[in-house]
Amino acid sequence: MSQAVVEALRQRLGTRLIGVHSQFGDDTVVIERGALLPACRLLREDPRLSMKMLMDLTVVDYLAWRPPLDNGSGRTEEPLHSLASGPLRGAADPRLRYRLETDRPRFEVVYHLYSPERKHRLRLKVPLADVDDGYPELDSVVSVWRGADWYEREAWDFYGIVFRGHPDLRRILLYEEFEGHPLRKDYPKERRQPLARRGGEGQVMARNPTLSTPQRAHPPGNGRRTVVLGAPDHRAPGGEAQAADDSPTELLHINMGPSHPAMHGTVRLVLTLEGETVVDADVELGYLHRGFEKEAEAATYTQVFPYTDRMNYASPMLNAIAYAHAVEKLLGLGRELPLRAQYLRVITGELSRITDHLTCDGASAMELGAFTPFLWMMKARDWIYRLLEELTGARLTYSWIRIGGVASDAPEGWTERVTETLPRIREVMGECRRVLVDHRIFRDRMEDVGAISAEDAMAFGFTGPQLRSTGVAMDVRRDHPYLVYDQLEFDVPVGTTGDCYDRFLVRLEEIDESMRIIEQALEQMPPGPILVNDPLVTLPPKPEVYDTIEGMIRHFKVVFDGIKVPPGEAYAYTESANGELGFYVVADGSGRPYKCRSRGPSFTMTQAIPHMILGRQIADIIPIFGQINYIGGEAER
Amino acid sequence: MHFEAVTTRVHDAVNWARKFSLFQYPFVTACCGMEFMSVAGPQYDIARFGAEFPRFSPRQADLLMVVGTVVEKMAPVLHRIYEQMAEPKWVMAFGVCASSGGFYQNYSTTPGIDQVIPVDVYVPGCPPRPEQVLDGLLLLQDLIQRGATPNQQIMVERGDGDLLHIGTSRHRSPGRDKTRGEKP
Repeated sequence: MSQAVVEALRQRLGTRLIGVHSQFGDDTVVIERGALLPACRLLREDPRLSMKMLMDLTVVDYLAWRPPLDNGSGRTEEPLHSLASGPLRGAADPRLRYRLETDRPRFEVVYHLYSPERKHRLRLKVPLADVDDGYPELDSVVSVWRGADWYEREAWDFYGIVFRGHPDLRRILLYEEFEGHPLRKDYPKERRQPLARRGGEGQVMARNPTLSTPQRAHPPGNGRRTVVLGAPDHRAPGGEAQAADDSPTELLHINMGPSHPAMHGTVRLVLTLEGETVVDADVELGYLHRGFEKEAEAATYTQVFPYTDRMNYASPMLNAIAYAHAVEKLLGLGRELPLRAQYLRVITGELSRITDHLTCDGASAMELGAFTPFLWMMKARDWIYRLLEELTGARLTYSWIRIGGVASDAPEGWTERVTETLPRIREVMGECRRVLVDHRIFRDRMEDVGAISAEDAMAFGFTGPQLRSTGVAMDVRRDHPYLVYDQLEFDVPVGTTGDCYDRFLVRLEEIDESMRIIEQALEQMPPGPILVNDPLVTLPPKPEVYDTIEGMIRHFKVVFDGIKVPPGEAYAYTESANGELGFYVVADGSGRPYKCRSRGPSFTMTQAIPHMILGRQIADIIPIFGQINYIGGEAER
Repeated sequence: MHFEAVTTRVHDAVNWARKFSLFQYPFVTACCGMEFMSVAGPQYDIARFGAEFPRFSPRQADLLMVVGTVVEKMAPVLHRIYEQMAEPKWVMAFGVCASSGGFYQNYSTTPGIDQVIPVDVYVPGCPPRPEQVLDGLLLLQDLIQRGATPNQQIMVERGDGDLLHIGTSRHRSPGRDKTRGEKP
């Protein structure tokens, strides 16, 4: 970390700056909670720092384990191995709680910041002690980064942290009836709080969930009549009681989703309409929140791969690569990966990127009525699925990446078949371009729709094609190369206006760039091993397992105990099809992650949807939503 | 005797028509949706099996395909969609998440949609291969032909939906509400 950053913070904060350290190349600053807002303002406004983007905000609950102190105080503590991996892990044991809270705060709120100009990253941590009523408070940073809005709601939902000054702090992924905060370590993993269940004799006992009300809707009594459609149990503020029949306009509340034909993905939009024009919108998510983090905390490091595959299911390989990247960072394996494994990861990752872009652009076109190009793109996607199936054994959910390499080498003739398939995909894409790019109806629906400025996009935390369409050439593969991307030549396509049409075109261009990357990688890929040879990380070869006792024991230890990752924390970032996909993993020295947080790029982008559709017509929601490419598994995890 | 033979034949004919004109409502939530696209796409082409047309309103659909994980927040929505479908109606649980919750066993996920609505065919797989889905569809068609699905049997029991009785008052029997569950 540059000394200037530390100096600037020290000048502003004085003793409220608790510590500065750097681990695995992640620069970390720990500050007192009272210093949060001044520190954030400084980090964002100071031209030397210029942290324009809040990449991620999350909380770690150190109830079951505390990290060893290494911030220069000279004290180091033994990790509570027996407690951390034993039956007490995750349980609410009062002794444990007492021991931990005597000298260390229970929570840590973690901010990951990024400066697109200086290509500089910083982790900001605020320790937060538990309080008697169980709801510790912290200042909201929404006034500094708009994108913090949903992150803070999520932190409230999952950890029960109250953000003072947040405009609209309510649950985001769970429902109002839910009691407790599930990602706290004392919330049991399988404690469900059902809203609907079948009783005896086929009866269904269903409670209707309280649908949260849009908070920014027009205040009652402004002379407008409010009509509620779509959700009979949903009462808009004001309601019919405020009716004034002589009003010239009527506001209409319409419920779109969570199961709506033109919205791929399970999202619910509560729209306030004046005629056809959207005057207010609220996005409700959580209809696909599958508890990835809770599952990951209960799984060994290797068992997490199947869950990552199901996050962004349009490009499963890229998620697994990102997660492996984080764990390898913690293990210090980053640059030691065998070259062949790195190339295989690049090739399969880029194939996955193509399937993602094909799905997104194809589905967008279909939703606007162009069914044929959708079918063509699905045809091309199926060719890629077959290639990946041949390599990994599965069409969609591969579980093929391993910590320290990949699971299997390319079968004979596979690289040739990839080389043969790419021109066929180019041909299909040529046809799709001919049909779509200059189609008048298609352009009318896409151009100037959902435009967003680069400044706003960064404030909302946009990354990936969605940010590049606004003209910001930000691509993790180029700015912070990982794997062998620095050996490969590719362009970063950018747009100019940041509208849906630009996003569509950027994706089309990226399909071409991905194919360029694959062709170079196939050419450069050397022969050699595909896994690191580290007995603590990888499984031994099968003959060794069956024939030698050492091999057997090694196999057993890695499978049952998991890979022992030394205590520490790392945030690893990769470029997924939708933007920056980061994994923030906290390791406690056991075989299971203490915390495994994923920064899914489409989560923070979805909160810009109201900003993009205000004042536009209801039909414009379809291309906007399609091109934001909201993927439930990735956004809601 | 003679009358029964005729009704059996009519049932056969009606069920034959039903099984080859399944209008599906794809309730797509998650990863399985990718494979649903493949099933509907040109390579596997579910249209060959008489289930071509996805209807995007449950009121026009016979087959509810629950494609992907259903979480507790979604369960009441799924229930309401099932309620909106006209009888006879069938449900396919597409993938293990819909069947049992799969490997998502935590505070948020519903352990199988049969906790909320009745299911006729379970298609395992995470996600199922398209061939597996087609196999599940054929199984369901077989059940429909034999009139063996619970929903058809309920209809027969209360004399509802029988072509011979349309126009009479019998298909408005009070038993209807009993099997439909509580109005939300």
